[in-house]
Amino acid sequence: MQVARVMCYLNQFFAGVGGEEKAETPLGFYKEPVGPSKRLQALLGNSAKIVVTSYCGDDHFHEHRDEVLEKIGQIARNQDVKIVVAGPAFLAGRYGSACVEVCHFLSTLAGLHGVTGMSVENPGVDAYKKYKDRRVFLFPTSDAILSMEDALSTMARFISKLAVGLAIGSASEEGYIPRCIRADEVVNKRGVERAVEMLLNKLAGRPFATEIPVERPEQIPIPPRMENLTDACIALACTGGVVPLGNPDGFRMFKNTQWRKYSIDKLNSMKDAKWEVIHGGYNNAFMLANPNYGVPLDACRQLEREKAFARLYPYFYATSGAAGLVSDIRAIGMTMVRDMKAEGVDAVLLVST
Amino acid sequence: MAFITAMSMVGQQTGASRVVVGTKLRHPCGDPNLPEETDLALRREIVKCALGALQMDVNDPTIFVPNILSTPE
Repeated sequence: MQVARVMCYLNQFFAGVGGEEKAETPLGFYKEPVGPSKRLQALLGNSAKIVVTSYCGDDHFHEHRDEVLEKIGQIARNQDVKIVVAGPAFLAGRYGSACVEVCHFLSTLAGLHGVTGMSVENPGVDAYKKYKDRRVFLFPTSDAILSMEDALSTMARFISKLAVGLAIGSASEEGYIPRCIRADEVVNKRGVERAVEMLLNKLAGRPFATEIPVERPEQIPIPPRMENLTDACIALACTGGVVPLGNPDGFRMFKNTQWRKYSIDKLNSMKDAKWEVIHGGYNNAFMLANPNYGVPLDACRQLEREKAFARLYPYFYATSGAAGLVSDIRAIGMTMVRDMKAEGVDAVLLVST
Repeated sequence: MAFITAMSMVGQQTGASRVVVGTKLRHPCGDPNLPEETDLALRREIVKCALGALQMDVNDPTIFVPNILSTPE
């Protein structure tokens, strides 16, 4: 039997190209394992062969998504790949999203199996759950790159099973994050017996396991359109980490749990005051040189003068979103909105990097 | 709310109702490669697109593309 041919997908950092400054690196590939794929190959032994490692800059992927995916498809075809392994991405959001997109695309287009790994807080996990690809499996890892060996070992064990064609068990058996795909199974007890047993356990306070976990995706209501903006008070919000020079409120590069609002009253442009950028998740140089890129004040003032809307709220809402835990960022959003409503803000322009 | 970001697909997947495609991840509202006036004009266009999106009926998370996109590589 031919050994299963594997393609690895990495970002610019793990491929050894560079850090944040190289996030615009276009898609490239090596016909061999590179970076963490070398260790992955060692863990896979003879069960599978990594024949190509493709890589792409985190920013470039998202800014040219369709084109990059098309090219990755060609590489996979040319190299006769059967399994794609993306990441592990840990908490890197752009990277994790890209890993899920690559696996989804190749599984849909070419029927490949996809294996990826990332922290449960990674935004890629949401996309994975939405896609529900039967052939894509996402393994939870810790946040820290230090856990690379654990992550690779977990993924390698599973990839070997896929590679040699062994039957794949449920999410709880294998350890991947469930896709909520319903699978039929024959068991000894009839449904009515199992249901009654489950009910008796529940009533007695004994542990029981539902056979059909119902995952309710968070429904975010769609606000109705605004009739016009003639009387509207518009507020600006930015998660790009723009803060006053000196960072008086102590924002962190990663995992912030707070937000603040900073005065833009009397300013016609962000360049009229002094700011700095605290955000570990993107190359800050351009934002630092011109914070209007994150808080488009100069353009808004022009439009305010031209009466495109009634007035601009005299503060912008600020936070820094790098590696923010979903629960923390949700709380930030909810409390920001409470303040906005209390202040008579009618609509918000939120800018994220 | 109108959400301006270069990661518009992710914004849409997360459920933001009106997502405006930003120029680039690191500078969503404009392009430092452009001369100052053109950069400001691009920023205006992005903001106008966002203000327009606020006034549009949408049933699902929708991506809006400003009239001018990024400069060539």
